[in-house]
Amino acid sequence: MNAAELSILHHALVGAAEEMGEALKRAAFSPNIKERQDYSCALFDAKGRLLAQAAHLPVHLGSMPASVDAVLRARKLKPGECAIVNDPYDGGTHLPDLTVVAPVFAAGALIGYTANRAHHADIGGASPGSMAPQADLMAEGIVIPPSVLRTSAGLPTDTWKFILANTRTPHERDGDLKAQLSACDRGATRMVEVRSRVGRALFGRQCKSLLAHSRVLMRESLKRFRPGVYEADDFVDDDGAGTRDIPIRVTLTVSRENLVFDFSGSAPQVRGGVNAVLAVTQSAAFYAVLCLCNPRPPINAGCFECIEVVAPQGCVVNARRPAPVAGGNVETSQRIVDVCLAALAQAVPGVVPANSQGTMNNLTIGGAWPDGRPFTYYETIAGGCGGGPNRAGAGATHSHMTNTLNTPVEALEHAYPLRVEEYSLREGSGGAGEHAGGEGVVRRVRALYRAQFALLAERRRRGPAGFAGGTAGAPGLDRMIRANGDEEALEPKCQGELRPGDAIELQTPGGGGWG
Amino acid sequence: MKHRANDRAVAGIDVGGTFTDAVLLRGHTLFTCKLPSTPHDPGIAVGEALRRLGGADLLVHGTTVATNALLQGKLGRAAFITTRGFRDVLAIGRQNRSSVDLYALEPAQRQTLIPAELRFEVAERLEPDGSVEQPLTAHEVVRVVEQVKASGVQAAAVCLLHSYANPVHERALGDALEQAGIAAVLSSALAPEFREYERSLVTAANAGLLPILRGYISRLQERAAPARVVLMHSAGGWLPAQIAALEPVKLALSGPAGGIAGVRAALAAEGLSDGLAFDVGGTSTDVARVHPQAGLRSVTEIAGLPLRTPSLDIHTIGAGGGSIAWLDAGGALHVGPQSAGAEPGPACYGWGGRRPTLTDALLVLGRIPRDLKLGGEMGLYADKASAALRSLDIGTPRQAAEAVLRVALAGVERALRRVMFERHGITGLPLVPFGGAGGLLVCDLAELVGSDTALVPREPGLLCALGMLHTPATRDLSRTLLLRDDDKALPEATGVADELEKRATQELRECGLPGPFRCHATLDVRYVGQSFELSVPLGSNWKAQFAKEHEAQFGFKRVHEPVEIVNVRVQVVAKQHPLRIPLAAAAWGAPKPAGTSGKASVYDRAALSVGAKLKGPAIVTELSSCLYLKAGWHMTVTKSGQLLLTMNKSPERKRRAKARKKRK
Repeated sequence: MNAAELSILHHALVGAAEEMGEALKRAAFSPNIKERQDYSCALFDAKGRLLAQAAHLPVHLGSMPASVDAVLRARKLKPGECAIVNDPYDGGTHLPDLTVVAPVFAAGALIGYTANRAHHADIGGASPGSMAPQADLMAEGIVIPPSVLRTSAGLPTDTWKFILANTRTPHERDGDLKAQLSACDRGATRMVEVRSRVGRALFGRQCKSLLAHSRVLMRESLKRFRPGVYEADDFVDDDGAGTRDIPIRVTLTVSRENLVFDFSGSAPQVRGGVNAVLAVTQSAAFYAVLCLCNPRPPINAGCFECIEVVAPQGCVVNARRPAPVAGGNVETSQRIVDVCLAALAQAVPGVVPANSQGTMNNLTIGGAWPDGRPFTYYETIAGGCGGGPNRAGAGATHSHMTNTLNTPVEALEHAYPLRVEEYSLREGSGGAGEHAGGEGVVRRVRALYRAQFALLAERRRRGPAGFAGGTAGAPGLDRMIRANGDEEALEPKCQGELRPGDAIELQTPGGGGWG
Repeated sequence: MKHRANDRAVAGIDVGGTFTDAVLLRGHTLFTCKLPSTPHDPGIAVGEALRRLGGADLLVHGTTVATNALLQGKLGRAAFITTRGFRDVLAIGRQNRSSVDLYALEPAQRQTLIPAELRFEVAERLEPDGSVEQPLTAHEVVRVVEQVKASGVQAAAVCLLHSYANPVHERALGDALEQAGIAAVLSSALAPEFREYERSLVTAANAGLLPILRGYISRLQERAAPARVVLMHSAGGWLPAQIAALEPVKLALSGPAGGIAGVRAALAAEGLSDGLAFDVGGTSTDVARVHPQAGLRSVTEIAGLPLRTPSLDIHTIGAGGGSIAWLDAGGALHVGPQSAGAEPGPACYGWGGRRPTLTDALLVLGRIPRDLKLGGEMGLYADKASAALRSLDIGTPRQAAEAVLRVALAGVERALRRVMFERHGITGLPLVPFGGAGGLLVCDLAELVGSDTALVPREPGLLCALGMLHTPATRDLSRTLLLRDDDKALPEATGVADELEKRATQELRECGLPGPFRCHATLDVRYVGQSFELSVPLGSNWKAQFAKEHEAQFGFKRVHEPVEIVNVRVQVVAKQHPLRIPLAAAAWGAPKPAGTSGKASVYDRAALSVGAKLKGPAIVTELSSCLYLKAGWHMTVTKSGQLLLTMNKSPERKRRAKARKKRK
């Protein structure tokens, strides 16, 4: 394959994935998908290997392929059919992330798959929003093994009805799922066009070359990594169910050929919902490596062939059914990035910044309007990024595994019976250093009516560490302010009730300082 | 035939990075003038061009002064006032990092436009419906105005939560600021739409641009006197200088707006209204969909800042004629984003550039004739272009050139597909190149996006300036309503539209425009719960229109789903007599080639008469641009003097023919 074809195919496939994202964003119903853009879109070859992914959320990097893989193992999809999966132990990550996978056929032949994943604001379970700390997976929400969502005739299956029957906001889910299907179809149309332009015979071969190209660039980047064995560890604050200081350890072995991240020595899986499935751990490791790649290869399956992730079954970074996992994807993943980067910093000195906030500060509030209409509000809140060798850390910015937008206060207050009282920089929260850490954020939300809330946050006990002599950023701090003015400190992972006039305030961590 | 509007002398002047292009229509004669730009004070070249053209009654001007100030972060010092608890709204933004920073170890700090010490809070609060939860006291107004005054700024941006629903508190602050001698920019007047970060940002940007544009415009008025100066704005019309000086943020896309207006006029001259415009520049390429309805987007991004102001939907990518081709470590070929710029320029300029650019590839492929003199003066060095391409080491210079061209096309195609997204599966729109180099790629791009026609306007290099002659004054106003669909929704929206129309009309009248005016009112509508709106015309069948549009774009509609009206928009257009732009002296007879380049015959555009036909491969050259008509295409000079390109066999027809063959 020649030099031009590689670029042209890359443009065409990434362009198709971007179009999918645009279709999903525009047609979706929930603010979580539309305003916050908590989704990813990708194209796969006929064997389920990632060909191209639009630049959406890093946390979906390694886990989208796992979804496609699970669907492929479960069944052979016919033209027009679409499958769905959220089972964390069979292709998913945590339950609210619903992944839709559609086969792409051209003239009767299977040529690949399109897939997209979106975080739904409620997928059943014990608490509104399906993100509260729970004792097991079943309490977190409904578990959907790889199943057919749409028939080859284009009609919704019973699975669809079953999902709607098990969520608090069926109406919204229905619209979002339709948008996800519409995005898959858009991607499929484009993929068929691209193939017919390239030529039937050549398309498969060119896709392979695309993967080989990323593999080569990856190896090229690896040349900058000093061979050796490096260790790093850090802690997850707690699991919300009594276990504190949950260690995550990694031993990174860098050779000329590959990188091995071995998580042996990390804690066994825990009762609370901070367990990560292996796909999440892989995403975190892949992300950390990509950050250090220069030039950065086009993202596809070829990038990840030289990265091996080893984790013992039943540990907190490779949990076994039915451990609860809601926070593994959003919280533990950030800690896995921290330890991976800390290990990589030893292999590539002088480029890795201090720790960023290391959490996503998940806040869910659910309840009903006075007329009985249900609502579920979910959002993640930014904090400080770590200062680095070149510049101070960005303040009030999502880091590492996520990049979702906030819900504008004016949109939030229109959509939910909630009022935001403060949304500001948390002054003095960034760690000190030659390049200071970025500031965290203060966000205070008051409920107008009775509602339930759930909080899932990290870095409440140890602030994000500084590097190269910089000091740590301030740990996060959360409290409840009752309508009568009483204040209560909140545990970082908790749920409870808000009475009319009660407010919940999150102060997110600042980034670590550098130098 | 006498044409009323031609009685006045109208000038269009577009300031680019290198040249200032000017055209003037007086009576039935078109005068043109091209001068080097004067970047330190762009108005100097504008004034000089106008003087050389003999002065005008009306000067329509496209400027990059606002754009550049935003890009370079050089704004005037201004204060920002907001609701208590939200002083950092500009610093927090939407809390995400730019998508280019997704894997950056050190993501960039957000641009705040206004530093922390100039951001002030006032105690007050509105509910989402605009009702007052906490009143703004007179005492509070005095307190904050004193603080702002003490900070020494001359302008202040005011953006309070939910002020789109009720401007009462912002107005109270505005009055007090103005009394204290501080220019107040109120978000409820400038951009009364919900989403506080975007509204704050556009208000802050406007306050920061005020002193810069006010000075620029008033100096220009002096230089251009007695001509009346009006300015192109981002939404594609022009604004009187008085309004532009107060709302300078609306000039952010003033420059390219002229080009789009030119493309629109070019299409209209052939009885068309819908097309894909693209401009291949030196370092970047702009693409846009030109369409009679909507076509405006409510947010435009400049220097990473999402500015909420109605704008033409122009998408820019970092690849142009000067973009450098290079191989990555994995052997893939890329074109751009690095550019050879004006210095040293492409290798074929002979100014010392050794790295191959898209321009070098086009020369080696014979699309640019080797004996072409750039701007009629500068010769090109084909051997230097060949050597540069050979250095890529991917075959002969010709093979390398072919590869560079195809990669560049793939990037532009991706951008074109983005702007085509609006309509599900649209194909067959004519492509319209503007600017100098677009004509060299137009046939290929049309084929890539499934189109079989293209239109090359007259004087593509002057199209921006020419477009300004055709542009009417327009005033775009909007307001967020967030109205659930019930019996009252439409009457209420209509009431607001009438109010906005009245205000827009009155403002234009105050600027001396007599009218008549036309008004387009549209509604931004969505299903309750969605957060992306579709525009439909305001009218009794708005719901049916919305359902239709939703299905067209997303492939589904929800019949029993409640809908809501998010925003009302009006565009008031000052009616303008169509200008008749005279043809250059008509040529006679059948086209005669002036030479050959490879297999293509080369023609001088000035020697092509109306009705002349050419078959590809052929090249048509003129002073400011060059057209490459591919094999498989043919071309006709239309009555209005434009070049209409058509594919001999459209892919659609080919496919059908193939299918027929198969059946046999």
